[in-house]
Amino acid sequence: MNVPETFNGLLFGAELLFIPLAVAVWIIVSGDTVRRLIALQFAGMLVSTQIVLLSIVFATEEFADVGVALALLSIGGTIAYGHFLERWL
Amino acid sequence: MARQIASGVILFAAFMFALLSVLGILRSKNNLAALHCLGVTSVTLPILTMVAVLVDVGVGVSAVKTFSFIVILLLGGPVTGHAIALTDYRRRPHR
Repeated sequence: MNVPETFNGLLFGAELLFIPLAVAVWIIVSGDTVRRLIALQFAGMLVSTQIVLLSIVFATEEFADVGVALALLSIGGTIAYGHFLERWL
Repeated sequence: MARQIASGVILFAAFMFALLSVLGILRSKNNLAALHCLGVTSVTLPILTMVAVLVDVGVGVSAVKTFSFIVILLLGGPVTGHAIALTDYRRRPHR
């Protein structure tokens, strides 16, 4: 794993995205039911973007597939959870 | 180094959109308005990420994987938005 020693724009961007992620986690913890679902979709987008960026920064491109898989599962999970909410809760 | 700074600036713009979006989700009065704020990030974040990767590392395996990731996010955003809006509508008590 190659750790960058100077300023790295992709690493900088990936770390910045932790700030909106923290706010999204706060909404997931304290919001109402549908608002939590919206924040969950938002957090899934941020985390998958971070995984893709970090896989490029650390020159481990195979881990970018994890980000792609997480994005796919996030979409399916949001649809399934919304269906569950409208039917049973 | 110039490429690093340029990609950092592009991702900083993506961060600003994401921050405004999550603050909108936090402060919106109803869930449809919050969903509207989610749409900002679901369009700008993937596109700016792709531009930053292209500026930083150029065309290669990383760019192709990022492109596939972006296609998934751009196609999935409207689908999930519709699903969440439908959930919110069907859960309303007056219906």
